[in-house]
This record gives sequence, structure tokens and C-alpha cells, in this order.
Amino acid sequence: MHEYLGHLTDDYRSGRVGRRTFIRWAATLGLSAPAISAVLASCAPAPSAASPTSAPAPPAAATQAPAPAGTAQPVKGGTMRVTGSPAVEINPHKLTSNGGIITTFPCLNFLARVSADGVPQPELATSWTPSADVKTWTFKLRQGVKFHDGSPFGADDVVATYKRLADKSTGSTAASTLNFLPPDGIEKIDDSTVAFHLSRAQADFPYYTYIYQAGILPANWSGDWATSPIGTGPFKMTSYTSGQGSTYVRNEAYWENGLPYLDGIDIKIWQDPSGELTALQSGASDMMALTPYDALDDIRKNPNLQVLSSRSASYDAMHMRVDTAPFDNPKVRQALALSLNRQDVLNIVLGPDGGDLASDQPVAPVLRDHVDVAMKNQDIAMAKQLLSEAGHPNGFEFDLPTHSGAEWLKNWALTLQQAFAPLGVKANLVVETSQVYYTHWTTVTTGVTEWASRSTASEILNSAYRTGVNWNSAHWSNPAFDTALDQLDATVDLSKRKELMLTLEKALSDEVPAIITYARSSPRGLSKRVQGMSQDPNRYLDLRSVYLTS
Amino acid sequence: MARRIVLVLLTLWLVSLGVFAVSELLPGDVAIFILGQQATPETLAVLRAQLGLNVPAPERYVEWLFGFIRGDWGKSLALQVPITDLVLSRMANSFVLAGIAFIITVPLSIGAGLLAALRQGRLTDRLISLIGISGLAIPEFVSGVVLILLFSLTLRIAPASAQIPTGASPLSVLPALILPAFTLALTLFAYISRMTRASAVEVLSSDYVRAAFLKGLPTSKVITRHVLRNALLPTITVIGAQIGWLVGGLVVVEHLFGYPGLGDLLLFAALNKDIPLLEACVMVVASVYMLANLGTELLFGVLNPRIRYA
Repeated sequence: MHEYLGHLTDDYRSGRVGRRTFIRWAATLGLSAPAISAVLASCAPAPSAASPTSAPAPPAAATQAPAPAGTAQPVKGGTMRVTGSPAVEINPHKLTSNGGIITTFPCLNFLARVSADGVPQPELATSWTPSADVKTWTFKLRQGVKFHDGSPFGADDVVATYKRLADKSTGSTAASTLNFLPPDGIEKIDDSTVAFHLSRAQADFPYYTYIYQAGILPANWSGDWATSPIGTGPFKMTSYTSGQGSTYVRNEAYWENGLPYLDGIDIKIWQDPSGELTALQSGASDMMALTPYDALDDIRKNPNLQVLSSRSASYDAMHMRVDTAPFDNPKVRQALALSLNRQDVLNIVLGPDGGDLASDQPVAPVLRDHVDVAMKNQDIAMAKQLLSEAGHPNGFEFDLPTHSGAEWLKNWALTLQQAFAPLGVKANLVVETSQVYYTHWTTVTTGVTEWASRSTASEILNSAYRTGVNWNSAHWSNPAFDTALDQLDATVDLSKRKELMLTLEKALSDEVPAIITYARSSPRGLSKRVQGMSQDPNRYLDLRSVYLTS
Repeated sequence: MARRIVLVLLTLWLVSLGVFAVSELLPGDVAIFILGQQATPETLAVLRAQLGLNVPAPERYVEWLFGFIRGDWGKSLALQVPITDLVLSRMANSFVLAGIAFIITVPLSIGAGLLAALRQGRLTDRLISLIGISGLAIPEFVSGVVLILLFSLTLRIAPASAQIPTGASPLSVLPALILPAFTLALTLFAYISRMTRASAVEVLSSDYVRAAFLKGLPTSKVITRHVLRNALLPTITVIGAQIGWLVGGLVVVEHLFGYPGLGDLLLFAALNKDIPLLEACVMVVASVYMLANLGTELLFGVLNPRIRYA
């Protein structure tokens, strides 16, 4: 057990740490679900007023069926029909798109699964223990779990899966996400124990076991998902037709008691979301895996349909290259940021309940480590003054590339364009196809990019804002920021983490390498006959406890 | 005949070269499509090597061409499945949809065209013209959406999705094919009925038809023996040309209804720079188009012995 857990429990008992933070942090550091429940039961601290949402449920013991959201008794049976976007890569280790994620996820389990509340919960692992320096993490594995072909699951499969992920020659983007995990640092201790020896401290490691490429596959897996789909998950894939869809049946030997409820799943691939919407409206499908924001009104109006929305850490960013004029002057970037009425922008682009406001920093309120920094208000006078000081009293003109691959993104870019206009700043919007945009998005002077949700602040900040990383499209560099980020990954003390997070978020909000006005919610349109669907900030596909009413 | 076949093959080769060249000129490649925003220089490099994109373009083209001639169409870069099976099964699906559209349209539009010619200037003629011109003027993506709104979402009598269950035949979802086939039929109807009407009007005013009436033949005989036979000649050319047009319509209609046909696949390949898949689709479409033209010419010769080809 990690030594800090004692302090954490004391801090919770004395009310210095809120219930929500306690649960999430204690689970991360490996305190078991019964132990967390015992602490929660042993004292009833004052409710934390700062808590932005209701407190999360303590992690359920994974052998029990999670309580479904509906009030009715779950019914077994039925096939759920889901529509999604094209799956371009269906090797689970190399997934890159939502189409690939929904195709493979029904079959897979992870070492841990991060709940919608942001709590890492044991899945194929039963527990984990970090070393004092959080550089070595030891995972105990669940016994008696079998793959779909009947072969037993064990430490060899975990080691093989993670070695493939960490090996750069696999071609998985997980290798850069897990850049602290060297392939030879994955060690089998015994048949049910695996140790991860990291190259640097990573206090959030359990969250990284739920990156979408980390589904556990057998050590001897062939490498071709279309012909040999396999996993330990609740469903077995029975057919796959490239570009058309896939079907699944219940895994009768599934290890979670009584789950899943569904007999099967039928996934259909559409190239165009408008076709998916029509299928949902006409009753030909039960759920749209990725529901566009502009479809939500139509779905809410339909008496047979509902919207399940989850707060998430996905966001949109307009980066500005800090090494290129006129954006090399921080005053120019700050001026543009002050031209925005952020609430109006959110209302226009995603709707009033489309997300949480952001002050040019990407760590969303839903994340465990989020701290509040001052929200910027629209201030045209100040913005004009900053522009004058920067030598652009009459504004300037620039090209603003974005892409058509995400339907709301162009609308966000348009509202920015409108907001800049009163400053005399003319943004020429260039809408490219996503294939073209992503050939040069990290080199263009400015660009409007959408970012998928991630489970930790550390992952978000490391991926795009550390000096010199691939996705640092603003080419921003701040040594103090980098140092604080290094320290964050090595720090387990919550009060120190809070200070570090304030430094990190303030650096971004003050220097504005990117304009970020909101964190998006993750909505899903589904039929009202679908019950027990859990909220999912990532919009993966978890149908374990879903059931259908007629 | 041999000369024609050589010409067809030459054209196909030029088309394949053109498609390859244009795809190469456009920015981006399939590796960027697959990785999207996730792309990092390392993963891009690994994926490009895995997909064989590191090889220079001319070399890739030659390799593709010889493979294609041997019947090995390669693997789709984006979908990672053998192309031959994929394209042939999608083509079969498209033939079913196009076939149904043709079965609906051809008798209907020839009949309507003839009727309009006989009732020239009267209300029936005007009505048929109106339907025809509307069909011409309204693109498939509008008429298709209107049909979905009306029959699927409001009346709820026809399915909006023409998805085929994995592994099943398209005939198993016959009711689902009504709306897409009807959308295609609307455009086809316009061309064929207007062409039939125009040539029937011309034939009706000809001396030999007048003579046939004057010598006392019953109207039905005049129409079947004289009017139809002569008026159909230009119509057949139009129908042949429609097969080429149909492919364009199929791209839109299949996309709209989510029907797994060749048009839908073609669009996917083009959008994602999956060049081997795109080449295979284009080759199939071009072959169908040229065979249809060849067939039309041969049929024309049968119906009109005056212009038989050597």
C-alpha cells in the first residue's frame, strides 16, 4: 500500500479533502473498493461545497453487476442496433477512430476501466500497488478469466499486450502516449502478477491502462482482428464486413456475474451521420455512437428518443504559433482571447448545455486535477489597447485553416472570426478536408483543431503543451511549465499537486498558446428502449449492463 | 470488333493512369487518413512502411498495374481487406439496385413518353412533362431526402436505411430498396420519357405513319409496328448512356441510404486516398460504362439494319 494513502485518509476524515477527490485519488493509488467504502462509512465529513458535480459513487466491487441507470429490473435478451462511422483500423492495439473503437470494444476488457466519474476501477486487474516513487506499479490479475476461445487469461497476455503497445515498430500511437513505459520494463512476476517499471514517475498510471488501444489480447494473437477477433469481453464478434458493420453474441462464459443482458449487438457503419440520424429517427437503429451536436434538437423532439450527455475533457483549440509574427507577441494572443464572449460562443456552437466554459486552458472541470483559474470576460477596449501596444492599432489579417471532419468545428471557427472582426482583425477561414488539414496542422501559423477527451490532466498537458512534443502546434515553450509538469507526474501529495496545477493552468491561460473557450460535452442519441447505458465521456462502447425494454 | 476491344483496353489503361496521377497530386495520403490527428512522425513512418507507401509512385503504379492484369487487385489500404472480393460483392449489390431501378423505369417511362406523344399538347402530356422535368431538375440528394422525409419519417411505410445485414443478400432487404430505387428512377424517368416522347412525336408526323393510318390499320398495330419500333431507336441510345449516368446517381443514392454498393465504396476510396481500392472501383465502373456503350451500339444495329458495323 502506498504510504500517502494514510495521509489522504486523515485529510479526508478531517475534511481537508472532499469525498469526490478522496475516492478518485485513493482508487488511483490502489486502495481497494471495500477499503474506500469502509473509510467513507467510518465518517461523514461536511459536504464539499467546491465540488462541481455530485460526488461519484465509490468503485463497485467488479464482481457485482453495476447498478443500471433505469429503475426497472433488467431484462435479458434482445439485440441492440448501433450505428457508427467507418472503422479504418480494427487492430485493437492500433485503433485511431471511433469506428474502430466501437467495433472492438464489445469483445475487450482492460486492466482497469475509468468510470464516467473519473474513478479507475479494477477490471482484469483486481488491485494495483505503486512504489513510493510511483515509478513501479504492480498489478494483481483476476483469476479464472477465459478468452473467447476458452484459453485462460494470465500474466503472459498482459505482458505481450503491453509490449506490443510500447514497441514503436508496432505502429501504435499508444507508444507515444505511453512514452514512459519502455518495452523491457514490463515484467511478469508470476502467473497472476505483472509489474510495470516506468522510465519516469507517473502517478496517474492506472488511468493509462484504459487508453483505447490497451484492450487485453492473448499473447499468441494472430494480429488480424477481422479473421481472429478475440478478447475476454462480454460479447463475441460473429461477423465482420469491412465498411458495412459487424455482429456480436453474448459471451456465455463472461466472468462478471449475470452480465451482459443483451443477446447480441448489431453494428452498422454509415459514412454519413445524416443517414445514421435518419436510421435512429425511423426506428431502424437504437443508438448513434457519435451523435453530432446539431442533431440533438431533432433527437430531443422525437418522443421515442433520448439524449445521454456526459461532461468530458474534449475541447477545441485555435493554436497560434508563438514563433511567427504577429502571434510571437503575447499581447496579440491575449487581445484575441479577450474579444470573445465565451458563454455566447458556447451557446452558438454547441448549445447552452453543450459543455463547460474554459479560459484558454484545456484541463476541463470534469478532470480530477482541475483547478479553477479566473474566467476571462469579453473586454474589447482592453483587447484594442493590447493590439495597439503590440503595434497593430488597426488590426491585421491572417489565414485560419480548419477542417470539415468534425461538423461543429467550422461553426466555432466562424464565431471566432466574427469576434475578432471588431478589433480590425480579419481571419480568413480556410476549411480543408481533415486529410489535408492533418498533413500540416502542426506547422501552420494558426489552426483550429478538435481534441478528444482524455482521462487525466497530465495526459492532456503532456500531449500538446510540453516543449517540443509532436502535437505542440503552437510551438510554445515555457521552462517553468515543463518543470511543473515533470513534478506533477511524480507528486502524490494532493496539496502540492494543486499548486502545480495552478501554475500549469495559469501559464496557459496567461500566455495563450491556444484559444480554448470550452470543454465539450459528449452527447449520444439513443432510443428510449435502451436502459442501463452508462455515461461515457469518451463515447466508447460499454454495453455490459445495457438492456432493452419493448 | 478486335479494333474496338483494343480501344476499350487502351481507354481503361489511360483511365487508370489518370486516376493514379490525380490521386498522387492531391495532398495527404491514406496513412494520414488512418491516423488522423493521432499522427506522430514515428507512427506515420511505421504505417507508411507497413502499407508500402515508401516506394516511389511510378514503381507503385507499375506494380499495381501488373497485379491488376493478373487478377490480383491487392489489399485495400484503409480497410485492410482483399479488394477483389470487396469490389465484386459491392458491384453485385449495385447491380441489384440499378436493376430494380431499371425494371421500374424503362417500361414506365417508355409508356409515359408514348402516351405524352399521342396526347400531344393536352393535360396528360403537360403532366408527364412536368414530372419529367422535375426529375431532371431535382438532384438525387434532394429527391432522396424528400422521399425519406415523406415515406420513412412521416408516413413510416418504407425503411429509410438500405443497410444489408452482414453476410446477407441484397434481395433479403427488398422493401428497403424501394426508396433508393425510386430515387434513381426519378432521374432516369425524365431522360427516357422525354426522349421517347420527342422521337414518337417525330415518327407520328411522318408520312409512313400517316399512310399506315390511311390504309386503315388499327391504332394499336400502327403504334407497335411503326411508331414504337422507330421511336425506340434513339431511346435505346439514351438508355445505354443512362447506365453511365446511373453510376453517378448510385454514388449519391447509396451514400444517402447507406446501401453497401460500388458507388458508396468509390466515394469512400476517393475521400480516403485508398488508391488501389479507388483504381479497382474506377476500372469496374469504366468497364461497365464501355460495355454498356458497346452493347447499345450492337443493339442499335440489330434494330436498325441500315447501320450495322463491320
